[in-house]
Amino acid sequence: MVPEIDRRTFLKRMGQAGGLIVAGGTLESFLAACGGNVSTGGGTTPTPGVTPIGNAGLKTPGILQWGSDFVSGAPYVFKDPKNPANLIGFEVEIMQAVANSMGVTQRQVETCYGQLDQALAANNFDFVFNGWEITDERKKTQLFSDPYYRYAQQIVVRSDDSRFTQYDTNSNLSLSILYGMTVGTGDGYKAATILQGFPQITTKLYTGNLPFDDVKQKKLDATFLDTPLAAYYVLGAGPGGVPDTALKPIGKPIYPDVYIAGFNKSNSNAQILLNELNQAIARLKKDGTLKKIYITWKMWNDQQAQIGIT
Amino acid sequence: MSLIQQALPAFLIGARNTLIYCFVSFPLALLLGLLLALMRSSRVAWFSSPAKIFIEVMRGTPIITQIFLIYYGIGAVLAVYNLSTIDNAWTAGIAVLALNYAAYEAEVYRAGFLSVEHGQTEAALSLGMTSGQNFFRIVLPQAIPLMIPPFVNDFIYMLKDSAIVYVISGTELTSVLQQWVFTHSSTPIPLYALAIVLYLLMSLPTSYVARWYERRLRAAL
Repeated sequence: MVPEIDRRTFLKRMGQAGGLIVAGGTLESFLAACGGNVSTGGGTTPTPGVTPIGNAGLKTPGILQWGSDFVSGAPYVFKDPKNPANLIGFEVEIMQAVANSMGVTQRQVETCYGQLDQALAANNFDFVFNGWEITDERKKTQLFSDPYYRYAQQIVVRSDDSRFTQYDTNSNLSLSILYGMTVGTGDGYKAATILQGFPQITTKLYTGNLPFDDVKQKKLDATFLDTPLAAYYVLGAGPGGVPDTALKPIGKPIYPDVYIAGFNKSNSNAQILLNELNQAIARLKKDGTLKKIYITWKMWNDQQAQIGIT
Repeated sequence: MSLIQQALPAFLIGARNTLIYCFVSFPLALLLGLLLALMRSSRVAWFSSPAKIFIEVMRGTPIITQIFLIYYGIGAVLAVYNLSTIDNAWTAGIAVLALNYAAYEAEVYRAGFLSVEHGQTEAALSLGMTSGQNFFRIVLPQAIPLMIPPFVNDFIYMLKDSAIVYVISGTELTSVLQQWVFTHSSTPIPLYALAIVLYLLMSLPTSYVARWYERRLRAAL
């Protein structure tokens, strides 16, 4: 039974409902505008007497926006355990240095690691800067900067695992010692692509959480991932790192590769910004900034000389 | 499209895993839901209070936090006793889906029981039937046809909700999709289309089967 209401009341009710909808819509966009990513952009402090590098290729002038994932992102980019409002990490420091040399501020654009390709294609940020590697698939749609770090992959197992007691970090091992076992790594990592090429190994992919807990809980036999991750989580290297004695890395690092920044090939500004970023990276290599950052995070090794950091 | 042909075997395995998760979890959810509904409707506070708390907690918290708690939280406790291997992506996923959906099914059951006319119960009791006979022979058979549409709805939700196991490294259709999109980042659209088609192929027949079953049940009454 529809209650009888007169025209005046009907119009009044429609106006009230419309007003509520408009208020709700503006509140939502207001909140969305206030929300957003954790900004770590400090003020620009260009070194006196040094010409700033150009910044013509930026999506938003004056802000260098780089895509990465801070969830389980240590030591690359992660929330400071002592002060979660701040992002720290060696990539944060590199981006800050690059932004300073360009005379702009930097802002990290938080994106789930597995979605970075799609976010780059959608131009959510200027480039990906999160331990990005060159792969054949990415060559089709992305441009790559010069390398800024030389890394490799590390096998990590339980310290008390009787199958691996004879090995240590100096042993020459390959993935063949993991045949018939279950190995975990992150979804979208280069290590995942490598592992999936070995049908004798069962690969489990993790997103948002790293596989270390599952190795300790015996749900996995080993984990295989980038050396900076092993250094931070297992050896406790770098600020805020705590050594984990339940795990140990075995074997020398294998599958050496480099980290680069990924740009969207179909973006007209990409080549311009790529050249500028390369200039910045070259400058940071030459003036010792990169070496200093890597020493702070205990990531320095003699491999870096191969990409020009001495 | 050769990419779809390449991806199809892996996607079909993912779809099979989705169906396994749902076909194991949903009956468990129905059984547990019935138990919860009976406890909730009981006059004994020892039964109705825990049931009420369980239902409100499971409905009021996100399923993703529940699955993290069961996989990582309980896994850490079990690791102390060297039992954590039983808490893997399969068991944790099925447990969370069953427990979470049991809370929703319990409310569907209760609504079904309340919708059967009380006159039926009065007539049954006045004919000398016990409460148990009344419940299983009079109330429940009349309530079931009314509860089938919400159950089918929930099963179709569960087909999609099973994607939650991705966060505990489970393999099902959505996680296979994510892996393939990552390794074929230049052409993701055919993969998304394939996954959507597979999900539709799983949920549409469910609706048809349920409607057919409901018609047969009504005819039998």
